[in-house]
Amino acid sequence: MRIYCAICLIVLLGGYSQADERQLEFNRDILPILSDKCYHCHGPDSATREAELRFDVENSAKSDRGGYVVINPGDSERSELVTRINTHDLDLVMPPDNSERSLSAGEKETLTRWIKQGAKWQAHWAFEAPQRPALPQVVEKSWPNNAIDFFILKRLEAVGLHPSRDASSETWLRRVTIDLTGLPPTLAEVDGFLADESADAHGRVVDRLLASPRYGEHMAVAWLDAARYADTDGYQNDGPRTMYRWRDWVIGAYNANMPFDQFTIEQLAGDLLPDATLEQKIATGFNRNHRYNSEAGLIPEEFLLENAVDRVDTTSTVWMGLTIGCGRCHDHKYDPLSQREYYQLISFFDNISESGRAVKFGNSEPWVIAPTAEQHASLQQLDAQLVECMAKQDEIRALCTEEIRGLKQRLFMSARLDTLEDEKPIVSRGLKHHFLLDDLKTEGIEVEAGEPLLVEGFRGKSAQLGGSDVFALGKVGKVQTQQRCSIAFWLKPEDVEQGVILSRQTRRTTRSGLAVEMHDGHLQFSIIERWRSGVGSVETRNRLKPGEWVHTTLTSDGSQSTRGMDIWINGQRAETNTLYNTNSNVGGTAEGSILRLGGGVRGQKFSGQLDELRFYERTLLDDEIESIAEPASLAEIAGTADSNLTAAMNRKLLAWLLEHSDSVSELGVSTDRRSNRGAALQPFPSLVEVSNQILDLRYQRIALLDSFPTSMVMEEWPTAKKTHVRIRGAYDQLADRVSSDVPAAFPAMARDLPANRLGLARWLVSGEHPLTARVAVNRYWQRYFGTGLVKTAEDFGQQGELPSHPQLLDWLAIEFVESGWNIRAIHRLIVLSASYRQSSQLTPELTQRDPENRMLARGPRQRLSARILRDQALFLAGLLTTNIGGPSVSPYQPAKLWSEMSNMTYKQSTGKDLYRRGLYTIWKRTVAPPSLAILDAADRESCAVRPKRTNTPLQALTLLNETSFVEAAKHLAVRVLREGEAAPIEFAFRLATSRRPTQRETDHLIAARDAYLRQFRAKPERAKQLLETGESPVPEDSDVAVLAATTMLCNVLLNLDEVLTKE
Amino acid sequence: MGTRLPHVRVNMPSPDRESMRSTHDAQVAHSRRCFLGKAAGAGLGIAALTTLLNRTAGAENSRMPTFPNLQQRAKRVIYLFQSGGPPQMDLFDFKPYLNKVHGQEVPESVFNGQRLTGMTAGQSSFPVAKSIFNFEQVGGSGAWLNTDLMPHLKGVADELCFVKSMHTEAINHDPAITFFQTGFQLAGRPSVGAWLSYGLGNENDNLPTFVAMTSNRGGQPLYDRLWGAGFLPSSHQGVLFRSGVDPVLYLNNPAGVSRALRRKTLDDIRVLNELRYQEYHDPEIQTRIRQYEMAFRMQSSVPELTDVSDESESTFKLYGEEARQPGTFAYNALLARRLSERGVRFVQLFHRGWDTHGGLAKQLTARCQETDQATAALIIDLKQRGLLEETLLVWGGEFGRTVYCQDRLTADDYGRDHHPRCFTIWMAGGGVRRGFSYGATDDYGYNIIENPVSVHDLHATILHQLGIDHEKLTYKFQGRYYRLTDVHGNVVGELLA
Repeated sequence: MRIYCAICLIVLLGGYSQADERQLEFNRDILPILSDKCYHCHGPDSATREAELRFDVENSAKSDRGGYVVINPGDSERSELVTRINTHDLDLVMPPDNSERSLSAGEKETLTRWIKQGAKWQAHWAFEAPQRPALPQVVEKSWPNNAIDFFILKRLEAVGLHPSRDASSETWLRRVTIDLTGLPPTLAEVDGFLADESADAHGRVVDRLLASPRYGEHMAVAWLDAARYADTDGYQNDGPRTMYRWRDWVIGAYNANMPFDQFTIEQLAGDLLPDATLEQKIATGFNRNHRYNSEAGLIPEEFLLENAVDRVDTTSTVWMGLTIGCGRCHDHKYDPLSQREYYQLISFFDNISESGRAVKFGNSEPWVIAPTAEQHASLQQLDAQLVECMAKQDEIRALCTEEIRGLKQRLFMSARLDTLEDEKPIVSRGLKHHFLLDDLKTEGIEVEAGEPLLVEGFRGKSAQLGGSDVFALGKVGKVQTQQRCSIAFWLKPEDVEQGVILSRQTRRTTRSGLAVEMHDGHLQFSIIERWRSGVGSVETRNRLKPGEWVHTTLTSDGSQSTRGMDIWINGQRAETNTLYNTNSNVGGTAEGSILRLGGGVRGQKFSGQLDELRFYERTLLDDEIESIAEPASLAEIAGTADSNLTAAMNRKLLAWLLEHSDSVSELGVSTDRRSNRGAALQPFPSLVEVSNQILDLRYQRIALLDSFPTSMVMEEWPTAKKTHVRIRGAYDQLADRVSSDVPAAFPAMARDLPANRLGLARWLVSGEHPLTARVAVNRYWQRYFGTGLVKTAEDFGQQGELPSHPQLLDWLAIEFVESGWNIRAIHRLIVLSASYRQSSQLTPELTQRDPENRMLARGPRQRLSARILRDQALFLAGLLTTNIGGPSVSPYQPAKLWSEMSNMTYKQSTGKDLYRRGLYTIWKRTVAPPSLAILDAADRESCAVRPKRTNTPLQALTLLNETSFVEAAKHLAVRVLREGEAAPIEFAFRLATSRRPTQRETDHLIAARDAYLRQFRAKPERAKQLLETGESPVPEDSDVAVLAATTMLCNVLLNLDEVLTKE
Repeated sequence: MGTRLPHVRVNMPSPDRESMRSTHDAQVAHSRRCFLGKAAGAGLGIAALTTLLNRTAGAENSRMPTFPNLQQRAKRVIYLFQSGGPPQMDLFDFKPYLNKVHGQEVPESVFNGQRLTGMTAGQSSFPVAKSIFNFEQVGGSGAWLNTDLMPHLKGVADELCFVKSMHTEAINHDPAITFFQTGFQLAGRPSVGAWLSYGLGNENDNLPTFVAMTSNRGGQPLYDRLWGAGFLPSSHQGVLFRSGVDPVLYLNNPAGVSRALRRKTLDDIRVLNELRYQEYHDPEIQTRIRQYEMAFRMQSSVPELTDVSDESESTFKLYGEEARQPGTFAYNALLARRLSERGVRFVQLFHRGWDTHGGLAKQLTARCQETDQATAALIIDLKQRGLLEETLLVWGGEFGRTVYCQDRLTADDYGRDHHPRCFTIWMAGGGVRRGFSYGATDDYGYNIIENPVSVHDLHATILHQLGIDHEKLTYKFQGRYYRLTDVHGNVVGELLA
């Protein structure tokens, strides 16, 4: 028995019937032993290399080492390797006695025999460019449908196995429909296929499925797993982010059959393409999908490195099937990749404008505003309106010249001219506080320190601060750092070296709040959530001069980033430098902190003057800022001859008149105009109207932009950051500086490629790269057969598995490249093969000889993935909502699951959003959707390219009891009672399996349903309870006992192995 | 159904090719498979057996010996994880010198250029904050203890084995807690409990191998990965026991479905699945049948376990009245004992809220009130039942806290930042020394001056007590043989009885 078993295993593994004297092959037989047992000390890693001996380099292993040779081809007697692996001397034996890497007797024998046979070396197969092999000669010539089948059949014939018969038409149809769309076929589709006797019936089905929008959604899931896509940041706080525009880009790309090379280039470097479109920028979100930490105490440099590491590791796994993470700390132990080369790869990916610390809620920089096509259309509509209004405004303004002149004249005549500007300030929309700094008492201002004075200043009085004085303006409402705000004031610094001009901060060490300071002539504006790990701080590039009045406006768009913070000097946006950009959107100043002028809770006090301080809870528009920055007072303007008015003075005058048109009557000058009311042409009121309309539209535009989704992207830093090798991978242990380049083991980048991500992407899909196409087609193969041709889909390196069908893998890789990287064409080819069409029935012989089905003498048979199981149940029940894309949704989930573990509360969706496809279910990385997680969905914490598939009791509980599944059973029951006519049970069975039940199955199911019915008839209240599962009601006229019994029957059907399995 | 599989320790044949590279290995593996095929009846699949039983080690790995491969001192672990980082100098690591230097700046010679978190690195002052609590030397061992806050633990102090010289590499919660749970700071590796499930399997057919429970809402979040399986098969991941009506997710039948009706539907599923099996011969179908049966058994075994109403009054006196209330630390501690009695391999409690950046006095008092009595009770209870010797208890958080004050230092309150350089954990039972204290820190409680113990060392020691050589428990993933202790870790022999 034992001998028999051994023989059949050898047959199985090698695929050769002559076990003993077959020619050993380096890659197949020797390299796995050397790599696993010897490379650790005699491999690529120079740091752990012993005796300067390398088994990854042929010359090293075969060279004369002063009297002896480690591997002496053809002469095992005089090969030190053979001596050392066989010696009983514990000091000499190799691998060392205590190394956990000892060789088995079989391994020793293999190595010895290989040396005897001539010790022929081979390069690692996966690093050599694939060549398209000729189709093998096969005996059973009638079996193959396409090229794939020749390779599969050849191997089967070599070991004396036969392909299985074709699966039934229903089985094939269900298999291919699920494989290409993630959903089972409808009965109409089953009937249509059964009735189609044409020769290309299969091909037409496949074309229909590939054209279905469901195809793109289904394809996207595996890509999302690889790209570690999620709706939260993944660390600690695990706050929300918005990346669905990227997810929808992927779905769209698959549905448009975007070629894989373009798919690659846009995701790795879309931002670097000439005139990159918004969609191409969104595509680069691939490398922003990694986890990102927002912990308050983190050290940004540490996570800048972690982020780049994740990008390199994920990109390498996805496109090259390489697990190169080892290179972070040391040279790779098994593959030809040095630590230096690892950081050369890091250098491609660390040059983006990120802070190193994620914001706690929302997208972290860099990101783009990413409207959908629909949203973009509404923006365009608004812009068209705006253009129209502005043209109208120009037109009317021309008609108003005389009227405005008259109004100005009347203004000049007003008795209140001198105070009018303060009484009725311009740009009053959203003006929350307006300190004129003319009278402490009326303005509620207190002296907190020193002896600050109100002196004659810019206009009326102004605050005079002498370097030790502080005014407290009190609690002027909450300033939220994640909300839009603007602060404006007149400023005359005396000392420009140091001083806190204005602050609103807590006394705690966190310093949370905001501060405006002078520093070495630069004006600094800071929004602080927590010093120094949550700070946005900018300063003017130019220096202010002492003793000069300037108008200063500070604006923030609430985006918690310095790119949303601006400093305006005298109405113009100043050029700024970023000092800190580590903001985090938790805080804002606490309600209790006080607004201070001249000083703060820390820092030197300010010396100089301040006047007319304005606070807005919105971001001012550029021309509004210009208007308030006009130094001439309203009175001065009114008193200036028309011919002497500057454009800015005119703008300010008009701004006042437009905003206070109703006040004109109070000036006692408009009685004559009143009589004109209702006349056809009233130029000035029309100007007011259109101007207000423009302002409304501009604010609507901001609100619209604020409502648009954003999407995190890759965006190069203008100047290249310096990338250093990190000693032992530690972020703060810098060694040599390196520049972007690809590892030497691969073909070099073409000279005309830029040394950036775009060059890297083009290098990957040049068609010359030995891995890109192989790795991609291998993952496609894995989709259909459960296991890739290379089982270790994530590792094509020397520690990875050898391909089960190396020639087929190469043939497919070449085919893929030569087809123009046509993804659909490869899928079409695979699913139309005879190999894919086989029945998945096992026989005792196949169970013995090929339990894992690596030789493919039968069709694939696997439990459906988590999302397919749920989608299938909803689809059969007629509940599935089929719209594509958009924000993620929150279907049923056990109560309090999030709040028990995190600081977030789960808000369940309602209505149709409960029934969207699983790929739209919100994915919180640290508390994953439980029903999907239990059914082995990838955790999205890091790149996953090989699905797990387990079979556990928790899965049984989920499929039996989870609300979505029970609700689906309920609606499936409604459906079969309505549509199933005389034979609802057969109908239900057919829906679930695509085939007709056998008589035995039918009989059993009918008896089962009847038994359930008896129970529910006896306890009708239980039937009612069951039918209340889920939010969707059942028809009011239902017989509840019958419906409940049928629901349980459907619950049984949805739990049958056959229904849970791709057969 | 419910066919019991032969209760023998078998080394699983690996489906992975690397295990079959040599004829010898292949022979062995295959003869085992032939044996299993016979013994286990109708062609039970490989994946099937692994997931169904979780009983045996090494299914996926040819290098692994059968475990335990050392003398087993403990059969199981109860890990009382105190999430957030308890302040060592306010609980166990008594530092009288701090009274002298209270309010003074921590000298640069103590900092010694070590990194601080981004939260306090920007502070302009680092004043020493002494502990405001009273310490006493307790028990025969004379261990120092904050007896203000831990009056109950005082009573069992002689059972404890303190390690005052723990240190870690991470300075922020997520990496630190992930490091403690998985031996690596970044996500993706299996948790300690998953490694044990993989290595040792279960002793109970009706309950999971690894159970996690959480208590105290608020405080730093927890994550699935802390009890996750990482790259191990997901059947090894910890099952989260919750406090609501469904202690295990989806345990209960839908409303209106009685246990009898569920039984009937499961029978129907089985009949139809068996018909399918007769046609398709796929062992996965058999496995599925068994898993549905196990699910049914869990529907009674879990409620029986989580319903503590059968406990005596003296139990509640011991653990406190809170132990009647699911979701409390006391209830979870009681459940930990009930799970251990039933042979569950690894039980881990996570109590949140130890992250005392400010308002330490109030927060620490609350945490101790929530945990002190039940912690002591668990030790007493296990001991009374003769389970302490074979159950290893571990108490600790992911790092310690700084001696310098974060935020404002007042007469009766202060805050402390994260401190990875040194902190205290303790163990009990499971073959560790009783009434023993190991390692020491400097006068400031800032640096270790004697016998540092790393997280890897702790893991190696825990595995050692369970009869596992930490260097031998490996799993091949991405071309590398991974272990819980990465390439580090030494068993701390001095801690062992």
